[in-house]
Amino acid sequence: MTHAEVVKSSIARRVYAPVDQVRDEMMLADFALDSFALVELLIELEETSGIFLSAVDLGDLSTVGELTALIERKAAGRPAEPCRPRQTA
Amino acid sequence: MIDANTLWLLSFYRSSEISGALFFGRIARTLSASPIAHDLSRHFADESQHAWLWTDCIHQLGARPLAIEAAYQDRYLAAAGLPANLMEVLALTQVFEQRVIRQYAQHGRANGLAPAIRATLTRIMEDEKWHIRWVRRALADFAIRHGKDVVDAALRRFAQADDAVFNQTVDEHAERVREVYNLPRRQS
Repeated sequence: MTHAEVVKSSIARRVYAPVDQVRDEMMLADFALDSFALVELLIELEETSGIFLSAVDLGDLSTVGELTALIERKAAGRPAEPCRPRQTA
Repeated sequence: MIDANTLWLLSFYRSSEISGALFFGRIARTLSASPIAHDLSRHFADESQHAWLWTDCIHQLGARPLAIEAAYQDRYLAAAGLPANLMEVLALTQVFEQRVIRQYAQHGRANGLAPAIRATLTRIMEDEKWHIRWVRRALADFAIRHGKDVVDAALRRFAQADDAVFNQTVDEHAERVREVYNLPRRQS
């Protein structure tokens, strides 16, 4: 999976929407994720992409595309590794 | 039967344990199999059990739990911002658990404590000690991977938030907390 696909599927799962309805230009705030769901989302991205986000990284994030770009930038800063699909029962 | 202030405080404890269980349950559900996922699942189970222990304690004392909407931890995120990664979740947890142990210990020193409350505090504090141990161990592993300064900065950030939230909560409920803990009244 690409980083964009990981981000969109993680969001889609949390808002019970088809993944193709999550688009780059959409505002993260519009998904009305509660605080816990946002923390879950960040940890899932940390697990699947192997990146380590900080509060500073998240500072000005507004859209799905910006979150994907952040993950891609972070991932580019370490040795190449494909995204790991989540292991679910 | 217990007095109104004690009932409120025990209900507050119960509500905080429920919030903790819900939080850790959601994080545990998110994680793939790992030592942290294992310990976090036990932590989640403990918090649920603690909520039940406070529920049962209140019943033993002849009362029914009050519905307390905003738990102590709910204020953390507002004060410190969202944890951005698993290490920050654990840093927040470490700070919070230390606060819980201090508060439960202070309650345990109150005069004339009902045996049911003392037994519940003693039982829960045993679990809380393990919570602090496993989280400290996990944070030490994060420090090796990401740097001790990064972990220490997160601990400082959540400790500052904890101080602010604790002082705010004590101010809001000063009279009932002082009475239950047998603390002296503030001089005006």
